[in-house]
Amino acid sequence: MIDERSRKKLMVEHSRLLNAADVDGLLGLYADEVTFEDPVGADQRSGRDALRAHFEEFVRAGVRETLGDPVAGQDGKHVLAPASAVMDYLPKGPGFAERGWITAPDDPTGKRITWNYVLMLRTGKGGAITELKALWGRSDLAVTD
Amino acid sequence: MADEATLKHLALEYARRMNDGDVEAVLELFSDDIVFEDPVGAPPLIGKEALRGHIAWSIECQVHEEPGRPVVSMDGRSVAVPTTVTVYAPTKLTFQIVGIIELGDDDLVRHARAYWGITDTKVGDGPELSGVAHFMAVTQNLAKMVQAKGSPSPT
Repeated sequence: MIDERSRKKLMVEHSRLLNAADVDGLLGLYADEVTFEDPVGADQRSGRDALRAHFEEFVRAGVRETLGDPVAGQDGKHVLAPASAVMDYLPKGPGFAERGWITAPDDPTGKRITWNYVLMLRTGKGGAITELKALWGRSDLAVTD
Repeated sequence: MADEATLKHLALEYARRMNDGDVEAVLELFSDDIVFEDPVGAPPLIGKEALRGHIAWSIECQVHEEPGRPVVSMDGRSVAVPTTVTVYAPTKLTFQIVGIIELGDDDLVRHARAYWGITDTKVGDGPELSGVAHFMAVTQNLAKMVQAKGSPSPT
């Protein structure tokens, strides 16, 4: 019970820190050994340095995440939540377009990317996050004004 | 590999067939070697026969599923959908879950996971209990569901 609630609080705190552009704070929630997949099925990476670079890109894009209600796994490890986010087209947009995930706009000025996903965090010893997974596909992404 | 629209349709179709109460129509979506975890954290059900019992039991409990917006994985293998699941018998219980289903090469579901915790479960329509009282009420009512089935269950 307490464990489920603490994992849900962790998820909410993770979102708060991302929106506050606090990358050091975010990294503080993670274990020494981390893996992450964002999106699942395309980009599996590991290590805190890679994770820091990943969050810094989102922060540079002015990301705003809106989190739905988190649910807790009865495995004592996982917490998941539906989420949506919006960020500036730059810097990540051209990379998305190159991979065929979105159609590049003629003029990226003022464009934004919005997407829907399910965020999944796995925790380990002491409640630190050991894995982040975000499920989203091409049809969950849109380029907007 | 299924396209994204097919994956999303499948997640909604599962809910529709459950709500129709048609056990065989639900089972058609799954492969023979299905691994079904409901909830994740309990021993998984393995194989279609084990799943048939679970689905039939859920339907006996008058299950109703209200799926939210599905999202897919970039490799076209998985679809995740937040869902409100209500059972009306023997007691009304409401579960907030995130379901993740993974397809095999035959486009049938080969792995299904339902994530929900005791804190994602509500008993009846009354005011929300908290702490230990909530935990006791949920676990007692889950046990009642299992007794109603008359045989051991994963929930």
